[in-house]
Amino acid sequence: MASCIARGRDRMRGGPVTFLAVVTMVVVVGAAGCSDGPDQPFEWPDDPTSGPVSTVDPAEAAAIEEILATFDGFRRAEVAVQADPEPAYLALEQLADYLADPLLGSVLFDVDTMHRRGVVRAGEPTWRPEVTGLRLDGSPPTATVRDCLDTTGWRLADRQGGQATAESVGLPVQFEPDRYVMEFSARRFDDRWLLDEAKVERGERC
Amino acid sequence: MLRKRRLAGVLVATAVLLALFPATPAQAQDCDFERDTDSNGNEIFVWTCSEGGSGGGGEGEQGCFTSLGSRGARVPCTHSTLGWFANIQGGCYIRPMRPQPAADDPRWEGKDPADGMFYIAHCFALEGANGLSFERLGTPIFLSNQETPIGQLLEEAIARLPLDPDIRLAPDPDGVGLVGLPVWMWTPPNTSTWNQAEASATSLDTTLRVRANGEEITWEMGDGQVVHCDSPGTPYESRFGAEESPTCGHVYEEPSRAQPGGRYTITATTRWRIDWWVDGDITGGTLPATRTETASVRINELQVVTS
Repeated sequence: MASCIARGRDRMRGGPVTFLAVVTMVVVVGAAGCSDGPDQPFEWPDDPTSGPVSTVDPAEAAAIEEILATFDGFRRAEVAVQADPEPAYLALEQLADYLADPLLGSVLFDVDTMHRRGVVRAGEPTWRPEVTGLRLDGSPPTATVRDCLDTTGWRLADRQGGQATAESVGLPVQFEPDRYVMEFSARRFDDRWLLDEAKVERGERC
Repeated sequence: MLRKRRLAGVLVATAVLLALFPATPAQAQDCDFERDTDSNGNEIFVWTCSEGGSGGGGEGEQGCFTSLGSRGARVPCTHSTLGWFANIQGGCYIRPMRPQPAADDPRWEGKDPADGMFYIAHCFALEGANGLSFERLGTPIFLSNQETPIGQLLEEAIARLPLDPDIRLAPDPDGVGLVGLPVWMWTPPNTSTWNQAEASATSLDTTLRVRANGEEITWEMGDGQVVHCDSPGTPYESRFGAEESPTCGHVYEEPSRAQPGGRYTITATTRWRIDWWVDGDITGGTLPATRTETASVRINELQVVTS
């Protein structure tokens, strides 16, 4: 397990996180295994509850549970705010319990854009996160979360129910129906975990 | 990333000219952005404005202007999520980071939270094909309060809060306590000492509001003991006799005669949680504020005379 967490930590330190998250719903979660590194194909475990993280000490297990709860809360809140986009300052309260800047600002930017351009996101996505890196002795503690996001059932539409595309309304490519891997960083802020960065792992399918 | 390296250079720059709260803010609806792709295939966003002209950078009577090479262009002075335009590195939008990094975050190294805040900066670049591109994900930077009008507004609003501790002790400082008998500590709860207090500061169209709530009083009792109380404490009344305070108290184990002046010096530090925000905007956050007051108490030994 130690090497698994170490790889997760190294990966989080690698290259700048450049992109934001956009999406989702459904649950799943559970602790799980880790990938073989950034150059290897990423595979999800058949049974997400039986991975090696189940052997970690109680402090790590508790942290992983908190992180995944935060992640799940974020996805649920994101689905809710994109189903009925409001100005950013109104959407803020629904997201601030799960996100920190710069990711918070990016997600709010998209919601605000959707509001101003009169589009919503209908349906529901699926997500499948796992904690692949955890450093509880850091200052502050940090973690890496990888997620398999399926947005094929979560589509843009105008407020009258007509179709809309990400390109037509100037939203990022992540708003187009697809299934892909995203990597998030989580950071401990005082007494809670918040997601603060995210990027799409281009070329990695799941 | 090149932009981030350039931003790092900004942090050591001695002069950061900000163009916030312009005299004549540009209307946000004059400008909008479109999705585009830069020469490396990366997704970028490009601003286009329906009117306005080029400028030399910074604040102007017609709005705000970037100063990237020869491509100065008018941009909105404010954005609903990106914040305020600042003439950093040719032009960036800055917004106080929320939440601010945790107290033990290494990003605070060499910086004092009392002097400034971390901001998220979205900076313009030159890569846009048909306009000004800007970064999708913001970069954290630290700026002193004096460098940003929003920081100045925050300091001004906090200064208007009536935070003024008023600590009380039993035994009264004019009296004498005894070793082994309880000392009661409290503060009369009001908006100066503990209860919720509010204030605001305004600059042109921007009103920043602050709200303070007492969270803890740390009592350094002078005998090496520290008592943390998360309430204003309970006022002592004579009917309580020699009972211990149900909320905030201390018992001295040694007399104070060996202390300077023969008295224990008690230092009480009140910590408030300050919530601050700008109406109709995502700008805001929380930060602590502390004030300290001292008092002293004389503690004698109880002497029993027997015959």
